[in-house]
Amino acid sequence: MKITKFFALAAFAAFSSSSVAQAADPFVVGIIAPTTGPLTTVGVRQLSAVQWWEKTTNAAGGIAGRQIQVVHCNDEGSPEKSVACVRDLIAKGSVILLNASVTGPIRAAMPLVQNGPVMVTPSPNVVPSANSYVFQTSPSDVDLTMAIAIYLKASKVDHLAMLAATDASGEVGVASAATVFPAQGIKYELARIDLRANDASIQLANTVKPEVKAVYSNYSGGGAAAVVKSYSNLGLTQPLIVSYANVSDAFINVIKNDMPKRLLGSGLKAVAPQMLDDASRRKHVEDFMASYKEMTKDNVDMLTLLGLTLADTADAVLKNVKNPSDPAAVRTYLETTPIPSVQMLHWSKDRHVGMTADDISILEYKSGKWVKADPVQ
Amino acid sequence: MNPLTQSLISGTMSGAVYALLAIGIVLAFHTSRVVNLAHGESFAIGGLVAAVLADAGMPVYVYAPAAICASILFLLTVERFLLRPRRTWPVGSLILVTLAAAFLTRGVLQLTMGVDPLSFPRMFVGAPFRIAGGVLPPQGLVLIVVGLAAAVAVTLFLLFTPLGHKLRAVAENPDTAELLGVNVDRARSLAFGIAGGLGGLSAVLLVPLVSVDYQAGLGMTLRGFIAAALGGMAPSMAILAGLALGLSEALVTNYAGALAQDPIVFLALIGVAVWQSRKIVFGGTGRA
Amino acid sequence: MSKVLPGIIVTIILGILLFLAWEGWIAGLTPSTFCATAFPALALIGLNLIFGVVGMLAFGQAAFMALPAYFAGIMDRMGVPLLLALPLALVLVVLLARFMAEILVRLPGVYLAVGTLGFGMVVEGLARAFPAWTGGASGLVFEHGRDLGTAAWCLIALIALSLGIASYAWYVRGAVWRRLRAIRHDELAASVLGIDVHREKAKIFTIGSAYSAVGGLLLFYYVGVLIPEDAGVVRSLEQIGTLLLGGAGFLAGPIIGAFLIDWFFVISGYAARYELLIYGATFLGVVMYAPQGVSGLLIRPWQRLLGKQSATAEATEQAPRAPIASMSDGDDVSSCLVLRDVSQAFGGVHALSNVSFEVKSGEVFSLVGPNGAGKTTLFNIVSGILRPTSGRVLLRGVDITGLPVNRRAALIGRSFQTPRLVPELSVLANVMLRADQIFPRLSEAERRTIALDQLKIFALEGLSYQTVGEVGLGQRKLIDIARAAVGHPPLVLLDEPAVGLADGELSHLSQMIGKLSAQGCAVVIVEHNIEFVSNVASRGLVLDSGKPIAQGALRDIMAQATVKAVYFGALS
Repeated sequence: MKITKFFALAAFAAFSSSSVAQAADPFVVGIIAPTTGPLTTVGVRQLSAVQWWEKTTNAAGGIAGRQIQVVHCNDEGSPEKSVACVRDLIAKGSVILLNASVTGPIRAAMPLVQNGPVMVTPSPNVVPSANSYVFQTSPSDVDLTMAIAIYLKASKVDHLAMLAATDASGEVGVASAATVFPAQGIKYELARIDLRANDASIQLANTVKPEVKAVYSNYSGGGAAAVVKSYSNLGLTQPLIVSYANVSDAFINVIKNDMPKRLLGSGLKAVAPQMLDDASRRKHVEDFMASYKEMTKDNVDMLTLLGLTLADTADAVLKNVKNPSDPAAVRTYLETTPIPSVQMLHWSKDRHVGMTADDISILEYKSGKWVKADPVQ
Repeated sequence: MNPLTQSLISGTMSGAVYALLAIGIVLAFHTSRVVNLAHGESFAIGGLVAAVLADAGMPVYVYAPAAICASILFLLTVERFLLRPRRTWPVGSLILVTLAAAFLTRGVLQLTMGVDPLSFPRMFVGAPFRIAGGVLPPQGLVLIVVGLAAAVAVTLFLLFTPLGHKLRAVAENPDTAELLGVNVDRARSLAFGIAGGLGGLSAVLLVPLVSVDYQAGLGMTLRGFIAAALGGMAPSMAILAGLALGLSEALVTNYAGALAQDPIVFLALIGVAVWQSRKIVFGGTGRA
Repeated sequence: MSKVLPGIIVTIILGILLFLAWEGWIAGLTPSTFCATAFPALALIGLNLIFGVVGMLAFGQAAFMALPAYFAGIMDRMGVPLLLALPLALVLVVLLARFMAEILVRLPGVYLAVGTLGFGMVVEGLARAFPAWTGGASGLVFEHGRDLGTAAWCLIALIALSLGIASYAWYVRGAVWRRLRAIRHDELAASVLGIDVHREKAKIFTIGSAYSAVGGLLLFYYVGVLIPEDAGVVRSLEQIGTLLLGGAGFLAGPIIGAFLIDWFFVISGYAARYELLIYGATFLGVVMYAPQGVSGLLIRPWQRLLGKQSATAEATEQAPRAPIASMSDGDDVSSCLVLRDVSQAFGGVHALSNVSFEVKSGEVFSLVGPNGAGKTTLFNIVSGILRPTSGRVLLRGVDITGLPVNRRAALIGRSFQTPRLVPELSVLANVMLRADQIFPRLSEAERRTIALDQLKIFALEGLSYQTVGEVGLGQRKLIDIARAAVGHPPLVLLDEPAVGLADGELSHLSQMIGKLSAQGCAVVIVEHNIEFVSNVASRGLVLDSGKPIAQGALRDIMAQATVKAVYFGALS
């Protein structure tokens, strides 16, 4: 009896002040991001972008005279904790929820907002239903796979080797491949790779047959480096396409001594802003890259850009929706208005995925930069 | 390319790493009765220190030994300051101390080294060897040779030298060992130091082929523990158990796919555990 | 402590916590936190039983939490109605646990850890490998849980956890507690006392897994999504950590651990990047300075206080003398123990070769011989710990050669060279351990009387309420011997009883042995102290390297030249 009482009082004394309302109420934006656990890089990077937005917006006077308060909850990549986070963030008054976690936890969180508030996530593996309050900013995994298929077809490649991890993104990747590749007339050899694997040479040996002209690694975890290194060990010459989340300096840093002959990646055009047609979007991304670098000393990568899409959505909502605490109003706004972000986000009543395959480019890492990829030779 | 050959090569490389980790755990176990759950952190520390120093431009003959020293220092610290003052505690509590130390270490590594995976260049470059349709990079060959050599050396040391015998006596009955003139404290430090060195060595050899981050320790502890337990915590069996584990993982992945790896390998593991304890009738501290 | 009181107290505390959570008076404690914590706490009760009380290193309990949810989800996909699927899922998991227990509990220490770890990995791997059934890595979604509101879930949480703790408190006390702690401390000694160690461990593993199953099923329906990692090793290890933090082996351990960790998780959100560091430092601090967890820090002082109170209470409220069944009454078979041509070989080593002797009821027989002669081996054969390579062992004319150890307990009492008492239990509780097995049908109070009487007969009753850890070695040996004779077994084996005893204690021992033989027990002593043995024993057998070299009246055999040579070697 005494322990719980003691702790209760201690906690109350220590933390009750945090729930005292401020003078001019800030906008509370809740963000769920794993900052410990196996998916730390995903959470940390996206969170960082959103925190950049918080700092720079507040420094410029906030929105409509009100400051922004970003409240972060670490769900550790666990659905159980994710549910607790959502409830906690809603209880703290979040007007909008940003979910920078991964598939399982996001799926656990989604039903909790069936009556709002609006939840925005950049995970390609989650396709929210059109009548929900959940919005996905990036292209779906099917879109990503389609972009790869289009690129391959343009290079007249009809045989591919594909490696996918045994985690959720691997699973989704396998499903997308089954939907997309056969329909585009592309044959593919598939091998799964364990999350703890130290090398991928077995998988590569099994899938990279002589007639295979390109290799696609859907593995987005830290172990993706093992794929690239095994790839180099085996002396393979086909171009290697890595996934979305590997288009980053940090990843290049790990593999820089073992670069394959040609390293490609699927990514948003915004990664190489010169590929963007829309000048205003180019400026937005370039300004962000410069400011972010100045503030954090880090370079922007795909994950940071995805985080920026979250921030941009929140920004647009807080600036333009009269009463952002009304989830229905926010939803209507998002479904009817193109949102300017790293690229334009288009949601509709029928589709809650903000981008399409057209927003993706197949990039190549050349001379220290990601540029548009040349066709497969 | 011959997938079977590649599997054997890949499995041997993994096996060498597991063997090194297993010996380290067995060493600590034999001198302190404690299953050191912080063992894998010596791998993580070694790998990260090497990566950071390499990035700062240091040459390999500086960062590799530095990394190994860091690993040795880590386990020496764990033994000296966490375990030694609590020698009389029950084993379960001490294992818990090592688990907590592992968590703390992970937290420190996260803050000091960041969350991104890191790596450093291979020490042995050059064209990979092509053997019967399989590919083995020079770094991989060194991993296998040096790793196994180190593991064998430590095993021989434990089994056949007087100092090794003393180390083994220490866990069985530290008071008796002390009466017989063994400096128990020094023996324990030596054991943990060697274990740390093996952890650092495995990192220095393996990380160039993959990557390391602040969380790599847990996975390594687990695999080392499984291999050590498979070998019955016996020094003589640790190497074989490590190799067996690595090879079976590779072969199952090759023939049945990565999704089948865990169920099959661990079902076999349960089977092995049952088989190995078929003669033992009484667990606990019972010995007639 | 009474049967229901702990359960009532805990329910009240939980009710208060729930109320506080509902009103939101404590930062970080909300109704949803309460639910999200109550279910893992319930599962943790199971782990407490398996690991905390009995000491089995189970590293795979998370799998038993996830499995019923997976089974229910699969059945749901097959169209089985929910009300049928849920109980069916639990039954299936309990059956599986019983099956796994059979395989796993035989495994000692480290092997059990590996086996349970492997089990967890297998379940996680299978969940990933069959996404069509289990939702795969993306997770299995449970929709029905959402239909219940927060209030309903909170009520379920309160009821489930209260029932869990109450049932645990009701089960784990008295004879069950003693028995389980004995197994934890020393399985061999427990067997010799009559405990069927394997059966008890299997039972506990199954029961513990049942708690995990119920907690897990409720949790995942509440959360709504289940991923393969929820069955895996990392979760299982986290659970062990949480339990150790709260206090393994303590009633409140699971609850304190679960609520502390979850509260910490909520609060530490403020710590951002430092979260892992703070968690690690806190964990290390608790572990180093409070090894028995928070419960140990807080409850031990209370228990010591309560323990002393209940001891005096016990002392005054004694049941009337229960009729003590004496095993050596009845048919007065004069020949008690007979060994015929018993041999034992370990590989090529002949530990015993053709040993035969006979001991009559009421007789004190001595086994002598230098170290390594095979005396303890012989004892182990008579106890049933070893099966002889050849030969027969007869007790009162019945061939017991193949009888398992624990089934011999009623017939044979044994003390050990180093007394095998459970240090944390009181002297009385240790003696009751044997009474529990010999007289299972008697009540707790009756068995306590028997134990107390036994201690009185051997003039040890003053030590009754002290823990064994506080008692000196000599006294522990005497207690061990007194315990061995509980229930008047026909045969009592004493392994080097005189070693480590002071002079006063030696004479006490002689008296004890005299009393035993007067009661009609056959007593066999292994002893080096020839002088002592000559005073208590009439006949004996001399062994050398497993071979019997002399047998008969002690005075005669000790005078034989061959025996002197064995003892004094070159000196004579």
